Amino acid sequence: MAAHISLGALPLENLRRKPFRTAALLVVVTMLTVAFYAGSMLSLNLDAGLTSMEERMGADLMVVPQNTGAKAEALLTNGDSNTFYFTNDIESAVAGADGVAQESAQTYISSLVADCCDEKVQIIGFDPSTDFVIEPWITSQYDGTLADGQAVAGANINVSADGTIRLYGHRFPVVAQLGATGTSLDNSVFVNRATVPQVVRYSAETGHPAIPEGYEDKVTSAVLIKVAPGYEARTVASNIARATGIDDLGYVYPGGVTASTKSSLGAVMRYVAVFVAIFWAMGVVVLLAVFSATANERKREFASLRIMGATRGQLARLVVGESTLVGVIGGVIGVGLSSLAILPFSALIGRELQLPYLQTGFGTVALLVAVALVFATVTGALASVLAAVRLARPEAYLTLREGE
Amino acid sequence: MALLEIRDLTRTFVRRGRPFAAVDHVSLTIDSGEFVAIVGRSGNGKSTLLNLVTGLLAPTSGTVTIDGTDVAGLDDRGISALRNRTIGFVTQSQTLLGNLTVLDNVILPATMHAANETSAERSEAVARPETAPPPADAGLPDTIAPIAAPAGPDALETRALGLLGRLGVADLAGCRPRELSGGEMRRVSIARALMNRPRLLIADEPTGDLDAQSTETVMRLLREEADHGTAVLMVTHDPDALAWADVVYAMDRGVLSERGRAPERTADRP
Repeated sequence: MAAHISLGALPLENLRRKPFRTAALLVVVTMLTVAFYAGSMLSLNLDAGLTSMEERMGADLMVVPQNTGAKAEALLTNGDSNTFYFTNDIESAVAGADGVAQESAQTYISSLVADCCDEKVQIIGFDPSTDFVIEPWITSQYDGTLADGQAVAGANINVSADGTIRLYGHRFPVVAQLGATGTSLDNSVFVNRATVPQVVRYSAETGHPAIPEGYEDKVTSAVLIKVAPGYEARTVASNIARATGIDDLGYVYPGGVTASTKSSLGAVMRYVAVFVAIFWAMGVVVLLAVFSATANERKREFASLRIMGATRGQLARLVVGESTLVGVIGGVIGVGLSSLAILPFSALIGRELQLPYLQTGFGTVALLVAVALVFATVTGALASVLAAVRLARPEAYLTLREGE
Repeated sequence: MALLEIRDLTRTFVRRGRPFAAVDHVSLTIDSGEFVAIVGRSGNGKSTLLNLVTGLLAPTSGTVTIDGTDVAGLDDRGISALRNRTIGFVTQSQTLLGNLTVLDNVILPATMHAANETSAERSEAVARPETAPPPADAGLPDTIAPIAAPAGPDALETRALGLLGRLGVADLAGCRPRELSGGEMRRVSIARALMNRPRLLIADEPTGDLDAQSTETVMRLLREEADHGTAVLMVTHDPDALAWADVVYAMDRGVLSERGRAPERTADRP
């Protein structure tokens, strides 16, 4: 039996025969889908980044040199790499303060955008024996001991094919690469503190000393502290100032950083939600107007179908079918374009936003794709509801015959 | 039993706040094979009467019965099926679907309401031969009696092209309506109305856009349909068309009255 035209095939045929109108409608639905899908994806990724950052923040307090608090906070969020350090033995001085339950020193050195280095990264020296922030995380993904001279790379680090990274003219073997966190830690290389003097020496040999000669063995950038039960982080900070006799130490409260980041993220997500809602409402109004106007123009066509024996329901399905098809096709295009723009560039987006940004997993993305397609389809179907309701009225033929 | 029976039919509209009867207590009976024409000035209710007959408008009072079924008693699905299967309707204005080819326009009615029967059944019903096959010779054994040929793979297309051919527009089958003249569109509309072999053909000004030769082609086709048992109800202003009808009625301000009956048809009569 040859395939003949049928009522079911009319929506597609009608769209095909009106390419300009169809293209214009598709652009509207595609834009709506992009706004919804991309906006939701960005919000979810920012939320995932924040959650990841919270999980990585094992310390209640960070003691850093004077005026370096912002640089230290950038390490926790998604900022540039930095080098800063104390020139005295701050760790033992801090350890004696009242309320300090656990402390561990870290050293931060930024590599260079120069011939000596593969890329500019944050080098973080930590002490595996005392560390309570990075070590548990590394252990969860690397079943081994980080030896002197070895490195663990963050998720965004480009490790050479031979399993090394070149920093200050020296190739450090990379024993593991960590999962993404959506924070600056993804652009960091982790070494144990015993390796830090080597890094400093290599930097001096390239003519770009990261730390002045003589400090390489005792350099400390920050002391991370877990406070004892019953103590407030700010109280412990005051105790540290008293114990060390240094009034102008810098203090970073990761909980506070998280809170302020959460607040920033909340604002961004609210803006995204409002933008999507307004954009959607405008789009639906445009689509409603287009489909209502089209239904008016097509009175004669609908009258013709009624005369041939189409039921009111079939006419309504024809109109809704057309708009639903526009919704489905526009949705697929919108989701496809947004995915191409977002998924491969999550690291770049994170850097540009300067906020914790972590691409959500496949399951969440698949769910979001499904929701976005449903959203686009329902939007398309909604757009023709008015026209369909009018067509479904009894004696619609009286209206349909206007102008005959 | 009459195929179409109209009893005391009235349809009232309101114009400038005052009710008026576009169709006023009309009664009319048409049998199968009867060709009825209605004449009258514009705005006297002829098209409204046709729309009441097809169930596109609901009557204010009175009844329309088609093949024993009260049209007002049917739900939307029922009346739609009736329009699709039993009635062929040629409207006054051009109602071809602009997005479809001429051929698809003609075929479309045959693919509607397909849920209640298979495509093959529908094709066979629509594409059955114009005349019955000759009866088998009673003396021959049953085993070699002719059997009904199954509908071909393009039975609907064959039927549609046949109708277009009879109306002289078969060469336009692949065209879109916008490529057609008014007269050509009119003839395609007639082919579409006949596609499902309606038992009642309603034609509102079927020769309105046609020249004399095309008018004769169309009227000859309508006459042939009537001669094959289709009841034809035609509204026209065309005096040439009236000669093909069996009965002519006039409609004035919604009131229908008989104007005359044609003499017994002869071979040389249109």
